[in-house]
Amino acid sequence: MNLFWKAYLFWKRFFFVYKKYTFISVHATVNISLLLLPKIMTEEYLIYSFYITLLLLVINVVLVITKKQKLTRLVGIFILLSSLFSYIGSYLVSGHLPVYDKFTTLPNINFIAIFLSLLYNRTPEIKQKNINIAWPIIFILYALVFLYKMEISSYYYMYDKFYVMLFFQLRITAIGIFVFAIINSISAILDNTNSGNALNQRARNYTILGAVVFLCGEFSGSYWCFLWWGDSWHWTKGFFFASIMFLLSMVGSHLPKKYRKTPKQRAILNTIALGLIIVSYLLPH
Amino acid sequence: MRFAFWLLISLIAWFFVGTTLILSKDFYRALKQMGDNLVFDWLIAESHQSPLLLIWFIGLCLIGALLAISFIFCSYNNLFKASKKQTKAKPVLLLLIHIFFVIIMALHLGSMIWGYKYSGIELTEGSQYNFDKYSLHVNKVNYVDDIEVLKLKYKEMRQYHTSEGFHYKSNYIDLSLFENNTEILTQKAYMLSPIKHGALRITLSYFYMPKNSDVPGVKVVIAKNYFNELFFIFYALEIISILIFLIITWKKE
Repeated sequence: MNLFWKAYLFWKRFFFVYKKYTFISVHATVNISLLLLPKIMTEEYLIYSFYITLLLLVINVVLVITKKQKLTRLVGIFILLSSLFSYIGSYLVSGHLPVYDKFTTLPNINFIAIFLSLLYNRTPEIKQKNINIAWPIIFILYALVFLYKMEISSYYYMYDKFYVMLFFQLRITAIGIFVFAIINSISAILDNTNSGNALNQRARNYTILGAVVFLCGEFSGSYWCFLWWGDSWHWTKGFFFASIMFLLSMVGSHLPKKYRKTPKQRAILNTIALGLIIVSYLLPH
Repeated sequence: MRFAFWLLISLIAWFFVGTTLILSKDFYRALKQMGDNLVFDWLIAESHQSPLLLIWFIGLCLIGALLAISFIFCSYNNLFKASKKQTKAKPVLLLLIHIFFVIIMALHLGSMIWGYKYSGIELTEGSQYNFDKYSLHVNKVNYVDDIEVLKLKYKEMRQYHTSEGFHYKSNYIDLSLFENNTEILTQKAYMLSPIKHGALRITLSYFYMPKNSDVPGVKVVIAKNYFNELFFIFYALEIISILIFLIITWKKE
């Protein structure tokens, strides 16, 4: 309920406080997406979109450093819309939602992390605690696309099946949630205002939520494997990494008392576990 | 808690070791061979050929077993007693999450021991394959798409297998299954749509082009697994219980 309430408050602010910007941006995005994009969208435009988003992220990192908070929020909304454009665009170009190529999955992951970061930026309890670190982290993740080929994976007939797309999409969503959790965890390490427990609590909530979403994706993947290979799991590198990611997401909930005496101690161990999840995802499977 | 934590860390580290070892071609080949068979059969017949994988697998089983024992003791000492003392949902849910996890691990173990699994069986039209008390006859291999694509390497072939390049609703094999020389079923198997007979499943994995032939064949997996349905049920229950636990413990910061 808490999440829904926050979502409601976010949209309320979104529409009433930033009514002018919101109306123009959302209206323009929807119209371009529905009418123009299917006709003109190519992989080239996705690359342009990627560079525009990256530029906006650089601007936001500079704004964070210079402590221009209102402007950071405003640019943040444009980054969110730009990521949404990439998400819709990748579907229009390839005919499927992002699957495993990092050129489309990393923007998808960042879209989720940006959305959650903007959502929590509106909460009065620990205002501005997570947003400062959010933008540099999202920028780094976005820039990681340079390490991979800038191309979209081709269509495969199995993508017609909803459980196949669920497997990929839920995994991407889970990683996006883990990224948001690590943002809070790192904020708890850097915190000097006794908000460490609150940030740790949020990181804990989102780590478990990420684990649930990840397990739902693995469930779909197991079903796919069952129909394709006759068994619910396969001894592969992918299976090893999936096990590692799930087990790492459980580390934070199983910390012995000795290792969680202070919020900082807990946050450091959580950050290591969440960081390893993201690294495991980025490694070639 | 401390013991369970270190076991969890050991299990993660052990899987990381696995991801490194898999870079070796021999280890990868042996792992694939293990996955293509029932693990118990592989242990008896083929494991001596790849001692490294055998050691890794035994290590994995040992850590898994210790973790399961730790869960059982932890469940009894902490969670079960707490759930008896308090009527609140939190300890009960924690107990359920751990019980489901142990059941899932036990079902994995069961599916490695009981039943059978034969993978990569190459069949062509008119051929037959005998296993257990059954005999499988291929009546027809129906492939309506470009057979030249099947001659390509897997990665190249996959690029052509779009919705237009591979019609999975039209490509099928027609099979008859005999039990002690008595026909028990004749059915079509499609990609992602296997044939079921009790715990027995005949799964079509690939169409391929046999050497020196212009007629496509198929690769199938024949598996008898008594635990798959239960596995999916407990997997779903595990997810639901974690989700409920998260909702009731979602504290406002």
